[in-house]
Amino acid sequence: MRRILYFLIIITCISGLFYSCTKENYCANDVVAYLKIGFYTWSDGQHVEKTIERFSARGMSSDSLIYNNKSNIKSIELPLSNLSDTSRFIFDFKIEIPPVEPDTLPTMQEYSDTLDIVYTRKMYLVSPLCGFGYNYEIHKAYASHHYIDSVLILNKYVTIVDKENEDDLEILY
Amino acid sequence: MKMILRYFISILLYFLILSPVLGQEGRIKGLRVGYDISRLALLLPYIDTTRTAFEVSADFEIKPYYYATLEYGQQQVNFTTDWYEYSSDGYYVRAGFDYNFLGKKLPLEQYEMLFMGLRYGYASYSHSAGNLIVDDNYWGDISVESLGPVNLYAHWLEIAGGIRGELFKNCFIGWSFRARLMMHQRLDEVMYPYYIPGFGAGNKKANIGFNFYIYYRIPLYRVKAKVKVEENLVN
Repeated sequence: MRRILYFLIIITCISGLFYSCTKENYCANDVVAYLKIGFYTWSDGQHVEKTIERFSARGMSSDSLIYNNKSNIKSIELPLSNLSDTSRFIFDFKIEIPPVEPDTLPTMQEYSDTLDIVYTRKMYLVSPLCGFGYNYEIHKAYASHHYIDSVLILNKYVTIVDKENEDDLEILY
Repeated sequence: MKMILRYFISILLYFLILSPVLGQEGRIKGLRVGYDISRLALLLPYIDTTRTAFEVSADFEIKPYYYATLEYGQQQVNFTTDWYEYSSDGYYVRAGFDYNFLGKKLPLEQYEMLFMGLRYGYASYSHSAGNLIVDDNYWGDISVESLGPVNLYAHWLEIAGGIRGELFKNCFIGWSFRARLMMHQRLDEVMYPYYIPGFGAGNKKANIGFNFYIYYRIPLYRVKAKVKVEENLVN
């Protein structure tokens, strides 16, 4: 019986150690679900990736830029607003126009477009340490047509789960 | 109320003092009630400051190798992080049986157990959150006043294994390890439970657990072994 008691005490101590060692005290998750957008164009009847030479983006009613004159960009990730069920983004493009005549430099043409996203938000707990985040269901996406031709929804559910860089939206130029 | 208390104390005294003399020989049969002292560890500051809990059990020897068992517990969770204040409150019940591997080998008046058992568990609880802040570096943080309370339940299966030994007459001590598998639960789509009473971490489908019990067996009657009766007849 004494042996059993010793055994009980040892087991309890080990269990206590295991319990206190397995606790995390930092947030290891990303809590923002970004809307992933790919840039595409039609070339010789083919659907091909499009590189934007210079790109800036910001949210409507926000002064802070999400992308600041970023060069040679093919895809972007945008944070949707949790304050309402719509987000408007302002895109500024600088597109290189190849020289028409030899011995002349290419010129940069500037365009501005807006992109509107309509969605529903679903709040959920990421983890006690990370707090809450939002998942989104995209209903509509439309843009002005200064440089953008059309917008296509590829994936209507935007979550923090990694989709191996698959785009949620496709913008055609 | 006083009458009920007096009645209860009388019954308890009867079982504690008088009943052991009911019979002088044979295997004692009775309801063994237990208290899980491992839950007291939750009161220590370095183990887990978020939970308070208690658990009691009752088991009864149907055969020396076969026990029916019932466990009941309650649990409260309260904590505050940078993002929200969480609280939950609920109870749980587990019912099942234990198979004692020593049951067929032990002498008539020994009750040690090396056992494995199966439990069905059910928990009913509610949880809620307050003063929520959703972090958003670009558009600005969101404040939500409160979520819930949301009423939830869970059903699970549990395998138990452990030992029990008799320290003094009718007083036992023992531990058990538990492996739990969630069968069905009502989910809160916004906030998963931090801890499901009696089951464990709320974001897992399987959990392990540990109990450290002290028991008192309320002796009810004695059963003489068949072998002994036959021996007596021969003599």
